[in-house]
Amino acid sequence: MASRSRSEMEKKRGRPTAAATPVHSHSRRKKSPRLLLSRNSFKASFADLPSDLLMRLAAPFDMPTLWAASMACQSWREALRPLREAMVLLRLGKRYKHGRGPGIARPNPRRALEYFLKGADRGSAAAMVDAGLMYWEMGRKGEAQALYNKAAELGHPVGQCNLGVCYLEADQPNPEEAVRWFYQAAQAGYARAEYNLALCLHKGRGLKINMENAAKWYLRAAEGGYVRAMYNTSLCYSTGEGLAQNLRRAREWMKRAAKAGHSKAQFEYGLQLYSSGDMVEALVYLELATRAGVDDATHTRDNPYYTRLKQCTTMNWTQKSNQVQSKSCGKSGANLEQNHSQFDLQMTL
Amino acid sequence: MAKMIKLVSGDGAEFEVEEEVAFQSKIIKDIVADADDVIPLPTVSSKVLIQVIEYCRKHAAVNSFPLSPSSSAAAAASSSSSISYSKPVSDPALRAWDNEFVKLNNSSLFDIVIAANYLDIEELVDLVLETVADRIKGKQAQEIRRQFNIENDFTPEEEEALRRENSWAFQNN
Repeated sequence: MASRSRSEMEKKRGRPTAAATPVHSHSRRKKSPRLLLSRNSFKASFADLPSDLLMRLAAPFDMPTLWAASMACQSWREALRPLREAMVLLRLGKRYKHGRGPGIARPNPRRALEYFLKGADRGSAAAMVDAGLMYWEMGRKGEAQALYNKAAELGHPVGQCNLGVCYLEADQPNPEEAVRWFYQAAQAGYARAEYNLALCLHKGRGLKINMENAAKWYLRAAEGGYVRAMYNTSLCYSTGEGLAQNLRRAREWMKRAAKAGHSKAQFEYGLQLYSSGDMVEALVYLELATRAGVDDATHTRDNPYYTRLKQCTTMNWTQKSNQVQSKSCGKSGANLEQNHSQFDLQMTL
Repeated sequence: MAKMIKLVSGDGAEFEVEEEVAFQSKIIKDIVADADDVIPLPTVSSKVLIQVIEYCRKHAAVNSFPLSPSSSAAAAASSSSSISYSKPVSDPALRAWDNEFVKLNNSSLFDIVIAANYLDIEELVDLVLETVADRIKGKQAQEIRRQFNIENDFTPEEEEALRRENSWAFQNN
């Protein structure tokens, strides 16, 4: 009974015969022969989505989503099998990379790469990205870029962002292409890409310099949790570059950056706390910044006020509160805010 | 005078489109190269063909006339990101138009992606797949079925076995 209704429906839809149809000898993607089958109604539905399209669709899915989609119906479960296998391989690869998991004593990069590549072969965009990263770390940049490209085409934001960085750092940099990929990934809400895009707008790489838009993207990335963007956003607010000057917000973002571990921000925040009288907390942050090497920042090197503070921070904790309360360190912090640190300008994979 | 291509839908309706619009479809481009200006598309209904042509028309126009930064900024005022970008491919105004275009029910999206796949219009396929993927992300199987009107053809035993398999899979993550 089912087959009879199927053939009737095919007749209605005018199933193409060899003579009438344009010949797709050059189509790049395999088309599933199950194209026109319906199940619960005369109209085909998403249950009949060709498996190659479903694979493309699901390639950037994370594990929970992939498993949920696999449970939707039999055809989806079947079509998504390679991706599920890829996920398992990806997980194994990660275990070998970090040297963690049952039966794995230490990191094994060779095995990790092996598993990542197997996952990539089965169509997992995440596996492609991880394999690419292994190659990049080994210095095999060409192979890394090829994998990032595959992942990027499948819509994986990390792949897209990494591909952008490849284009920027190539022997023959192609900043326009880099920006194109940063923008795609940024559209997907990937904070690091939003930051990289802001940086390009800020420095005029691949795009005309536009501080207003750069600041907007810094802010976006900062809201997305990217620490460097928090720091740069704070600077934009404090100098009024790209954003309307707003010292309260500048301080708020500097604080968030400091708490998130940005060492220059810790220095700035430490100074903020200092000038507002929060001595002990100020010293915590200044100490953190010093240990991270911020005291080498050239713009503050010759500042006598800073040297005094530095002396304060390298002293014993119990002595600190007494020392700090002495008038020699009593100048207001207002002048120091003139010595703004450089914007944080770095791109990483 | 732009060269016109005639497309004939499954229900016999004819649509004349400019060459550059029709050539968004790689298949059509190749057929016309073999000197054939009337192209029957029996598997594509008129309704879907109209939508596909609309997409192709918009994208053909953009590809030939890159928008200047000022006009793209004005057009993108409503979208959340106002980035000045000169390349038409990632132009925010076009992206905004695309987002409006895919505000369709799942049934229409399905028809469009099948047609676009058949006609080899890669960008449209990507656009629809991306849209559908967003509607799937973060959902449970039952919600996905409801969203896309998919019949649950697993037996209860199979479903139970799958659920057990899944919990094992998630355990060691």
